[in-house]
Amino acid sequence: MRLVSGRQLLIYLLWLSPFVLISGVLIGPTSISLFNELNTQDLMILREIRLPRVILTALIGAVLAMSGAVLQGLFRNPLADPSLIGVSAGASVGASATILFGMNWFPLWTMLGLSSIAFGAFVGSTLAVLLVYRISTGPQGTSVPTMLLVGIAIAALAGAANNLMALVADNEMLRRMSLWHMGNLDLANWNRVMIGSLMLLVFLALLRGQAANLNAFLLGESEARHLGIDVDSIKKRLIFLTALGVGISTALVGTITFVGLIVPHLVRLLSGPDHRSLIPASGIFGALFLVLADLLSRLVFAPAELPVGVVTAFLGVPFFILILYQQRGRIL
Amino acid sequence: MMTPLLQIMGLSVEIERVPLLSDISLEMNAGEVVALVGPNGSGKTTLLRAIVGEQKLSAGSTQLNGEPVANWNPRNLAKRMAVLPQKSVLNFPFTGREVVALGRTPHETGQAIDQKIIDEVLDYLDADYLADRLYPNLSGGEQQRIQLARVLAQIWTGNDRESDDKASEPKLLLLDEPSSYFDLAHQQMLVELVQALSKRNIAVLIVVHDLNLALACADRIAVMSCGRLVTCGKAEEIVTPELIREVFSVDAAIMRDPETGRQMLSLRGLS
Repeated sequence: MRLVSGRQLLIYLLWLSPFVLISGVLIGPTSISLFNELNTQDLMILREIRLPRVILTALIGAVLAMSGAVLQGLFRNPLADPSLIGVSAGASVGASATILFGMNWFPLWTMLGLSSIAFGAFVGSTLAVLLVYRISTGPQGTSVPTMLLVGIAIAALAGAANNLMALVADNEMLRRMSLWHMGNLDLANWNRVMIGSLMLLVFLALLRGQAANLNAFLLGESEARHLGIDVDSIKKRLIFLTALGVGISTALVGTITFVGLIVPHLVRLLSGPDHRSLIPASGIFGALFLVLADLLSRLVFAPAELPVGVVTAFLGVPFFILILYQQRGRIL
Repeated sequence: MMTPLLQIMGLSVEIERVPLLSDISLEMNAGEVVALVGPNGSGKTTLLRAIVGEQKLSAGSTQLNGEPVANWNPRNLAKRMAVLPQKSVLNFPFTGREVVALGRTPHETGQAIDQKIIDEVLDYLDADYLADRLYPNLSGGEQQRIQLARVLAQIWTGNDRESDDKASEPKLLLLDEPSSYFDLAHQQMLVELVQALSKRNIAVLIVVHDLNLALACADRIAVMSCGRLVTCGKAEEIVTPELIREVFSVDAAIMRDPETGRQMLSLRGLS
């Protein structure tokens, strides 16, 4: 049964946010205390490293978790996650190819303070989503079950392509590839924060008013149609917005798995599947979860850093399995 | 002459040159109950899908209120026509009340009115006690009642604010085997519900397998076989042992309830 109402959960999460965000900014290999006078080095760390990093992390956590919630609703499958529409797979192939072939996409991109790897990842994810979408869209509209299968197939293909590229890559390239696949937030800078914020704005604008439609979607596509919902255009819109959100997130910080899968799932267990609260609560939860995971990634082997993807998996998966174990035989 | 609420004219459906429905014409007036019966695969569900525009027509047309269904704005259509599909799979842990509330999606009547309508339909379907239980944990019959409550909530009362002055507009409810999981009491509840709906100006097209249920609730019976509408009319005029044998391949006797005079079917064997 539900532990809290959607509204309560949102309030708790909002209360929790400042504490998590401030800890994220202050704690690290060099801990900064607000009670002492800040010296220039502290200020520098705060301004140039911690602040952009925490903001970018929060933005991306929010987008990944909300995308997961949207896709789980769209696929009517509580175990769907953003990788299902081929985004992560495409991004990883794009990134690997950029690293392997040393492509320098175009100078403007690097001028924005982004690596060409990010651009390669974005191109790859866009192509993969288009491919998945085109294959599963026929004259009768987009078939969600087909999309699920095509997404899995494309992911497998991407895995093979990645392995192939890893085989011919030299050691240095291999290291960069595998680091990228694990997600690294230390690339954060203000340019990336700006791009991330813009992405979040577009994402939220497209998502506006879709919660009620997603609720109806859970009944089934034809049921949603009978409730007066323009199913096909909404499907397109939701696929577009998640592809955009996850594609840009992945381009900015690499693949971060499990946030999109676990966070909406936990929120649903806490306060039910109503998207009007599920989506905002997942957004905040995802932001806080990723900020905490990043904090841990900086602390565990400080001053060395763990890739955040490793932390989200180590943190999220056992917890997730525990819940699944407890819920055996019950409805998730 | 009054425009019929639903008018199906010369409707045919073919999929890859295989005819599924051929030349079906049927009219329904406001508040009328029509039962659609026929053996498995005779095209009942396809006909429902064709009426609501989910199945492309290869010929003919369907009109609601004199306007082709395809021309309706989806939202306005949803306010006038609700559909209960044969089976709905919902795996997400909504409560019964939340599922019923989804029926209010096309409306903008506001929380207070929505909640009142939800309470009414839940009460009507003897489903109050399911309101706070999680839908996926309910039994088949309970889930079916909640889904029925949902489609009722969609067309329960008349009008959203803009058209309050008009008396309740005629509406159409399409039910595809709503009683497959119902026990006897709830089958009887369904019969009474369907009849009561006509007082609310809601016409009902109901697909049923149980001919006795069809006889009990419908004003007219439409009999389908192999994608054709064999006949359609008042039960006493069309339901005969010959028809039953021809369409369903079953020998049956037709009797009358000594008190109500209503027809009943007793099956005697395969013919």
